[in-house]
Amino acid sequence: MKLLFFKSNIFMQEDWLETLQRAGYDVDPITYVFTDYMEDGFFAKKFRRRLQKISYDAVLSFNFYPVISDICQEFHVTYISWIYDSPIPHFHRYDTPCNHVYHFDRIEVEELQSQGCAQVSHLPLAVNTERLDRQLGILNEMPEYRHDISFVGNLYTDRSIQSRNFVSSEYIQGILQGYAAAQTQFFHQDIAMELLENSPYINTHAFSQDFPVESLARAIQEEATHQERIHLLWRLSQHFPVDLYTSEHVADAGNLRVHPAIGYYTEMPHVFRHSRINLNINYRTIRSGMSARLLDVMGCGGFLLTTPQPELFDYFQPHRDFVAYSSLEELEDKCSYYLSHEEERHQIAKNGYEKIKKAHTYEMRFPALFSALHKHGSFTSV
Amino acid sequence: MKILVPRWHCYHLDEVIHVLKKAGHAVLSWETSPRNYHYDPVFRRKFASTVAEREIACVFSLQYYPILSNLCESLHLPYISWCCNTSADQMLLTKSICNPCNIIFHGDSHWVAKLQRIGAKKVAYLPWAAGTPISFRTASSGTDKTASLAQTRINADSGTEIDISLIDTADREAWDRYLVLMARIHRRAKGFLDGLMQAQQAIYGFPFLEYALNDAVLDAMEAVLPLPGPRDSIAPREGLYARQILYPAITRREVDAALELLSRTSEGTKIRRIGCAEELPPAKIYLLPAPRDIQNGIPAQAMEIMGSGGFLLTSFQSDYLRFFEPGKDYVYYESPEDMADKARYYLAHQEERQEIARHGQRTVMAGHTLAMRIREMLSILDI
Repeated sequence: MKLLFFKSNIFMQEDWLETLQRAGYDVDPITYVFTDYMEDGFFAKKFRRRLQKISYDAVLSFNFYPVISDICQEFHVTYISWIYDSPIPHFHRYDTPCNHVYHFDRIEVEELQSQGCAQVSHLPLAVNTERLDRQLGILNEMPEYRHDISFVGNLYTDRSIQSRNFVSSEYIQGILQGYAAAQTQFFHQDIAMELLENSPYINTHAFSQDFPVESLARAIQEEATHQERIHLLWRLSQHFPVDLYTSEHVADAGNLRVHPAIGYYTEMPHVFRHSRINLNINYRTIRSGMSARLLDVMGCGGFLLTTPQPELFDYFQPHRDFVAYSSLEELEDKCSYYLSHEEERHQIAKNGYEKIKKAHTYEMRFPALFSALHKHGSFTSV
Repeated sequence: MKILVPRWHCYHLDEVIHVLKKAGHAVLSWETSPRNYHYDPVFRRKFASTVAEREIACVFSLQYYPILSNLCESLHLPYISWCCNTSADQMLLTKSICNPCNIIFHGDSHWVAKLQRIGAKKVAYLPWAAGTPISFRTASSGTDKTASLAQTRINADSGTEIDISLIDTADREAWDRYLVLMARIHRRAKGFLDGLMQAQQAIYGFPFLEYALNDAVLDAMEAVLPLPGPRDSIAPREGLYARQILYPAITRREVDAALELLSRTSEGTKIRRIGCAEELPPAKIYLLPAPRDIQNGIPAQAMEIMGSGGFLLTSFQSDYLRFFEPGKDYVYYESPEDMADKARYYLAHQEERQEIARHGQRTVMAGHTLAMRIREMLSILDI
């Protein structure tokens, strides 16, 4: 029973591959970085040669690649893709029979299914807790802390309305930024589309086919993420020391200490374990799903303080496994509280960590990932 | 107990004083005003000497005044204030708010939480109440008007000329400031404010605008229209711009839009726009768009309308639900279209409308008169 594992430039792929190998699956990697996901003659040739040479039961990848799907269909090989990106491109290509697409955002999946896309199922992401325990040690006692409050992530300045310049009018850019600012005040509710449809300032019908109104709504959500991260981090740092790890070139400001980006497998687990509070500020285009960040913080034994994300409440208990906030005021209050209630905070971190180990490892996901193969009798579990 | 009550800008004060006296307290109704409500050394000396000479045991005011709080703190006097969503609420956001002498009652549950968060020690929720309508008052405030109020109604279904009385809750000075701001500010910031205000105007019962103002747009506003506050202010600048300019501008737009929509869709309906300080004319429906800077609270005018037997149609505010039943005591709307639909409906359904007005008045009389509220306050204070 052989699996072909497609590797690209995705940070979680080594964990998935390691856990497959650890579980005893016979996995071959193939590595490539696409410049064009839809068509790549060079890769197609290489990939076909591989499938001709070796008979695989399935091809696996994080995210979905139409080129891989087309060739798998040609060779009648099952293609299992696990999507962690939102929004998702190429969904119109999912309905090829060889595809089994797993997506981490339940609302996206429900929408796709309602549009007739039967090949997509919901599956939350996972954590390689064994690797993390090897790196950090098993979490028992309160660790030594290096930071009070940390945030590891992108500020998405390159995705802001102003940076992208798809609208030339400064006034209209401002309108979209105003809509984004309004969106930052709502969780579990996407108001961008409604604002656009009812806008007395923007004629959405005037936008071209290349830039449909759905893209404009998405741009507003990305702007909202950018605004929210800047606003919350800068304002929070007026009252507390905050350590920001980011790839953007940003100057320190008062209590905000800016550090360069850190490696997913190297420094990041240590930052999560050794920060009293790990902030998460959700990427606004993720509608219900738990991002890798949420699970990684808890999997590292870190205390998670996050903007609310619906699926987090499905699988974890607030104030037991994690803590959520919905406003700057609430964030400030909870930072103040949990910085001064160490035992309680550590217990919440431990609870989240235990729950990840019990129910959210890669191994826990394998039955779902390979369920289609079991059903069709073309695969035997190890 | 001897209570000093300053006579500063509150038209129900006589009624309040009357109830305090009926409860057995001696009241010194004090006319002297300071030059400003934050600091005045001349006033300070007069106040201190009055307190000593007249053996004042505590001070009570409608609205909160930092100068009184600081004076009471220095004289070890309790200072009781009752605030109800007026522009004077800005004075709550001053350093004096943390004075231990303060006992603050506020008619908006959001403000209660806010004040507790910033360090006010004794804060309680106490919504405004229905006073005796001005048109039914006599020169003497010695009689209890509660009983006669219950029998009077301003709902005038016979012979009235007005179908809808639209209460204009917009602040004219704030609107002027808004026009100046939008004329001066740069285009991107103007777009930002227009977009954000469009979003806020569409949402009732959740004032979020001030929390969405970021530093870039605040800097832009400050550059063209600074809002200098008193030196003891602790109000964040987003709150200042939101309350003094942006929320009132949305209220103004909303009132204008309501009038335009009703005029366009309800042909033949007689609509009259009245200022919120004006006497309530007889009307079938009192349409009250709540001022947008009120977070959760029940506007004072709503209590007056229901207490006077009027049919209240108002925008959604969550504090109503603590005491009143929508559809039974009053009616709320959640969009301009909803407002127009309900206005048409209730104009066409006289009996239903009259029953709601009657029920609302009964509910107010049974639990929300000024006299009852003052007695409730005294009970909380245990005096």
